[in-house]
Amino acid sequence: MASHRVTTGSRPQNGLMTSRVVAGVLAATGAVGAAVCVGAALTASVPQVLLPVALAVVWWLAGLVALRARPEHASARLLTAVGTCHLAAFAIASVLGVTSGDSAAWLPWAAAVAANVIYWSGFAALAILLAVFPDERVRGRTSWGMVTVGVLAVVVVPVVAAVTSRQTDLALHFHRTALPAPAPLPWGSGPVDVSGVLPLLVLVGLAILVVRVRGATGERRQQLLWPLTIAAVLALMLVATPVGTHALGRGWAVVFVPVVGVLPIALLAGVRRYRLLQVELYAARTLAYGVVLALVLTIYTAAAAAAGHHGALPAVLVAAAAAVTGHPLRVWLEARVDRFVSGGRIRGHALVRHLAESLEGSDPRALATRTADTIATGMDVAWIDIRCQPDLQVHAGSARTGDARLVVPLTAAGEEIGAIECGPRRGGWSDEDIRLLTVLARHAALALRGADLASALARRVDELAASRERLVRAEDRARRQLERDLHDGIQQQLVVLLARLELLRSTLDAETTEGQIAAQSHAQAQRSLADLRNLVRGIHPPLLSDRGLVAAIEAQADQLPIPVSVDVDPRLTDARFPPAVETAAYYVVCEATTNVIKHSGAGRARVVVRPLAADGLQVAVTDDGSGFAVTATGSGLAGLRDRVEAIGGRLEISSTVGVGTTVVARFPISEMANVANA
Amino acid sequence: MSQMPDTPLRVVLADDHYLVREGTRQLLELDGQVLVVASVEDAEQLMTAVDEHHPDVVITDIRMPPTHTLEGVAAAHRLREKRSDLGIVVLSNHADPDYALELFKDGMTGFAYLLKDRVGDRSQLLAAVRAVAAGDSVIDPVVVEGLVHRRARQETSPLSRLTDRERDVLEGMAAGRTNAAIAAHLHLSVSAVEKNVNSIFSKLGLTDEPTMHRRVGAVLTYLAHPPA
Repeated sequence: MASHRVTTGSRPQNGLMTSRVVAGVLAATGAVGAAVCVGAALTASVPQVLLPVALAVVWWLAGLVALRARPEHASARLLTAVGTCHLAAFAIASVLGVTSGDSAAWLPWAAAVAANVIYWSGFAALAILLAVFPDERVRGRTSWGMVTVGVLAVVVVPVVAAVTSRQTDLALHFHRTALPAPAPLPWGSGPVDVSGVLPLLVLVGLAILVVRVRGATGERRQQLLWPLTIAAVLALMLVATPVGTHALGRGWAVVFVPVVGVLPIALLAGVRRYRLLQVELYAARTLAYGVVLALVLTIYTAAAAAAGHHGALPAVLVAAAAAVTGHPLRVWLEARVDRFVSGGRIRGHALVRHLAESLEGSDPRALATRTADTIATGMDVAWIDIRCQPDLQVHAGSARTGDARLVVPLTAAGEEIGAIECGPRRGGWSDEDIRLLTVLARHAALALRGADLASALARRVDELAASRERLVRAEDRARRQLERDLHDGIQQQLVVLLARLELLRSTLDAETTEGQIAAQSHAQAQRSLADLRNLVRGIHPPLLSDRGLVAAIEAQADQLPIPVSVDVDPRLTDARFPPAVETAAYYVVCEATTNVIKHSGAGRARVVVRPLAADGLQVAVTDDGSGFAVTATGSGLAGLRDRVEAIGGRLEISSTVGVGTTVVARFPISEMANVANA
Repeated sequence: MSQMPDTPLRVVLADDHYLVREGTRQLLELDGQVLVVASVEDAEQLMTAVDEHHPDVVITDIRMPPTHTLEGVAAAHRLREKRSDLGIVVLSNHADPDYALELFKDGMTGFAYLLKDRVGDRSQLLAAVRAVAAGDSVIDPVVVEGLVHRRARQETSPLSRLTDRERDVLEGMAAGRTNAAIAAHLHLSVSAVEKNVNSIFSKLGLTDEPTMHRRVGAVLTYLAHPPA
């Protein structure tokens, strides 16, 4: 922030001294003025002056604080001057209110004219403040011209008005007294109400600001939006005052006083730190709503005038209807004002912020499209093409015309991943625009790269999960096929062999050598058949396919040399699950119980099969054995985990040395159904 | 032991494996006690053959086309509905008791569940054929062993209170052996077997049954459906 402050190092020291003297005078005058006003008010002659005095004090105090913070700033002095002038004018008016008589006298008349000039000077100071805010100098010939006109008006208009009238109107708002002229001109008129000129001064300041905003670019433009907003509000309040007073009477003060009272504080904030975030937004909204409000008030006034003095209700209704139907107008106005405020473009950090907000998600095409749209609208470029690896191309704006006027590379991590091609643009490309576009391109490139990597990663993860699932399913299929082949092939042939050996044995005398050989061969074939049956069972238990998980688990428990209880939720006794789940759950029980027998030395084990809340299945094997360090699990349990997770399940192994081991597998059945059907 | 019939028992064989059918047939017909009247390769043909030949006994493989799962058991149940006097022997490669219990789920009269290994044990196979022809039940000793083991595994089961010897005797009873056969098999005296049998019945809360086939039924029912 410091770099944006106006530095004073180059200013001569005596300039600063002068500034301090001026500041002292302003502070002292304001204090005296305020004291006189309060004193006069307390004598009860003019209590109605208290409210404007309070307002003036706020301006004056805000100026003093600004002076403390930025003694070198003309803005601070001018802010103080606004309050001081008004306090001084109010003080004179208060004294006049106490002493004035009917007789024409030079002194009160002259004092009244002076009070008018001082009061108007306060508005002139405000106009100049708006014209020079936030740093010292008035820029441009037009601006100087306007300031000159304003200052002249301050002195000339009240004096001319006073000289040419038989009476002089002490034209302070809220405090109006007509003083007879001591030496009226023969052709002099009655009191001339020139108070309507006062808002003009603020309008002059506003006009200067509008001119400055139009001529300014970049940061300076942003700085100027702040006083522009304040000036717009102030102008609106002053313009609205006649209507507001007409409509609300004294109640208008409820609207006027807080708004006008807040303005110096806002200006003070602007002086202390004039680059505020989102100032464009405030400026645009203020201007848009200001214009709409002014319009509604105008309609109200017109309606009130047409309906006569008693038609307040119809006037209110007409104005309300205008306000409601004014929505499209407001939208149109906002667009125009946005265009004016931002010079037709979203500027600098606003554009970066806008882009950053739109750079969410992981779809590279959507990101590129949003980036192109943001740049095309935000920077007012006719068209934008974004090319990006591997074969992403998006377009925004009007149809492409000819070659790109500007090409900004998209670079992420030192690698050029594409480019932003820009079409023609009103006003061409300044260095600042190109810098901005480069910053935007860097953001966009990082986001695009990230999205690209993320989607590639997601694809890869999906592929891996799918391939792991396929592997597990293929293994299951192969095991089942092998079991069937053994069952219907070798097993059957062994049965045939056995039958033949039995036939042979039956026809031979058991006492002969041949009979003995036949008997031995028969016994051998029988053992082979039993061995084969156990082997087939290990490869894939037919019971699992034929009778389901629970039957297979029961049968497995039967095989174990220690008591293994199998607790099955009654709802699951005859339940069938997708084959992949049944197989995985079965192997969990087999592997876990085998571990129990081999390693734990447990006296008993327990298998629990129960449903999980949301379409799930849980199989748990618990033993009371010696336990083991889970980190040192053998490859059997690791393979088990792979198998369970491959079909979307989770395997948890918890073991406490001396207490026992629990292996829990959880399977989501709904997901599993897809796997099974796939 | 059953009385040897004057006329051979008429048997229909069902197995999808031709050589198994042939081997079985040769063994059964070796001494003329059994006449294989038809030999078929699936359950449908079995139905037709039974209608056609009115056999005394059907010997069927548990696994046949089309699904190669429990076709034999299903066919057995269908045949039993048709002919309550038909003896049915189911040959199976599964030692798991679940398959036998599936066969016996609606009653075990005239049913035998044997491992396919028994094709290589002519005397056991013939004994089973004769038993089911007489309305008795036979269950393969290996399957009985599994069944007994399963019941004993349940801590609350009275079977867990049996001694090892009593358990061996129980298996013999369930397999349809006489006390004498059990005694021979276990190298015990017949009186020792009788003592064990009494002890078993008292521990299981069963009463000794007068006939062999009711004794087997009682024991198997106990094993298949233990009291809660």
